[in-house]
Amino acid sequence: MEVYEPRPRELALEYLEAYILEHHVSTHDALPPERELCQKWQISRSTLRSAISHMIASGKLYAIQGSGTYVSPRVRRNLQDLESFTSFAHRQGMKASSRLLSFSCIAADEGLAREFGDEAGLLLYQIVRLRCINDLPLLIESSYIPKSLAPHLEAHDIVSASLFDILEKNYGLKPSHGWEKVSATSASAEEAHYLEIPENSTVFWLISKTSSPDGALFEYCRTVGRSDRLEFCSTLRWRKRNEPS
Amino acid sequence: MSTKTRDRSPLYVQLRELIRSQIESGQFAPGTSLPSENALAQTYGLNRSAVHSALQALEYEGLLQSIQGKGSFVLGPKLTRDMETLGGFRQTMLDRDQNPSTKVLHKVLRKAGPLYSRLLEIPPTAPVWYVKRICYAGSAALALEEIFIPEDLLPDFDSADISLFSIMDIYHWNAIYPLLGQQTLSIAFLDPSQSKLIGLEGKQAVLEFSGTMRTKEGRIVEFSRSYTRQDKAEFTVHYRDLEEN
Repeated sequence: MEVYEPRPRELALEYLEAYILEHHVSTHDALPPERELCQKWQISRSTLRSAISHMIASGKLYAIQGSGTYVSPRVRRNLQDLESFTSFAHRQGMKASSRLLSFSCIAADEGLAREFGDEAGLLLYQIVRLRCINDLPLLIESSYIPKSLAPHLEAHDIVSASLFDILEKNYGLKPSHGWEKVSATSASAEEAHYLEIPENSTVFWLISKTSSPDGALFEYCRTVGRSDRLEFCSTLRWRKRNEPS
Repeated sequence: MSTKTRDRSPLYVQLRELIRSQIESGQFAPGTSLPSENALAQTYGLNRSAVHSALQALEYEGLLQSIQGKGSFVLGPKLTRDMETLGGFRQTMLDRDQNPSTKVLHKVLRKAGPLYSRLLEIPPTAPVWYVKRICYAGSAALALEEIFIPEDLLPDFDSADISLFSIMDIYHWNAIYPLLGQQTLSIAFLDPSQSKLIGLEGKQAVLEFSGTMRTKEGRIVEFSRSYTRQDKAEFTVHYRDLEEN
């Protein structure tokens, strides 16, 4: 039987990832000096550097010239619950903030209107917010809410309060279930500007739909998110129908 | 794009959203060509570079393919992987007549080492099966996948033909029933040597889906990591208000 020996760089990556897991190294914690790690793991300096630079490119680590290598702040979001941005940030010990980029009432084009099972011209509130974690930009969320379901939404303070809280308390729109799609796209000039990344960087592209208990879709949301600061998780379950007969 | 109040996103971002929704809703069927960049520029009163930028982003996303001298063509829907069902991807591919197949690059024993011992909850010296393979949908490479399985779980794995049978089948034949999986979705960058394996060039952003599967008893069956072409697949999940249940 062939036995596989990981290449030195592969092993260096394994050591680094294990180190981060083991020490529960969190946001902005520094890695020990390279010299120390090389000795501990019995790998060469150039191998370690190559592994570190790969993890920097993937956004897991970042380096400060003359200071060291640090673990990147990363937000982990569960896709299967409705926990708000503010609440999951707090739970992970981070501070959430928002900046309103635009708030307008638009007439939906055909594609948007179809999402709501309606026709072009449907009046929608369009709320575009920049979401930050520890004052670092993370997401641009564009929410669309039918005006008929939430008249005078503009009268509420959607920057400091949660949009879902406002919708529930004032309009009885309780989020009950939804659907989300995650893929990737490249950042446009404006998205790149707000997210503070180079234009055409790869970013997460999410579409989500949230409905009230009676099944009425009340929020359709498009999100662009920084790929280096964000990850998503979910629990997979075995389903009976898959069981071999 | 009639809007009641001025939409503040730049026009080409709106064009990107507009064309995306027209493709997703079937107004532009797969295989058909889009109007020329000049025609789109004229229709929407945009300059040609703005149109080009919008089409480029959609091409990156895998919705369009530009063919030299012929224009931009609409591609069929991406493969959808649900983030809720174990083994769901293979099933989706079968449902869609996508004829899933794999090319096995490695199927070997190795030491668990620093990282996989942690992830699999076994000693660092314990042997694990290491599988590295390319997953295809029809003839198109879709993902690069690595799977790590404790050796003692499947002592006869060596002789099992994983190009003919799914690893899930092999677990079941060995009376191992994975029940739950914890998965993380992030964006990773593949080195050129790896991206080449799935038909990409240079350092490329891909969707990384990784995590473990456990049996009912809580034993970890495997850790797997797949790098999926972001232009070929997307991930979906349903969510619900957990307080309701």
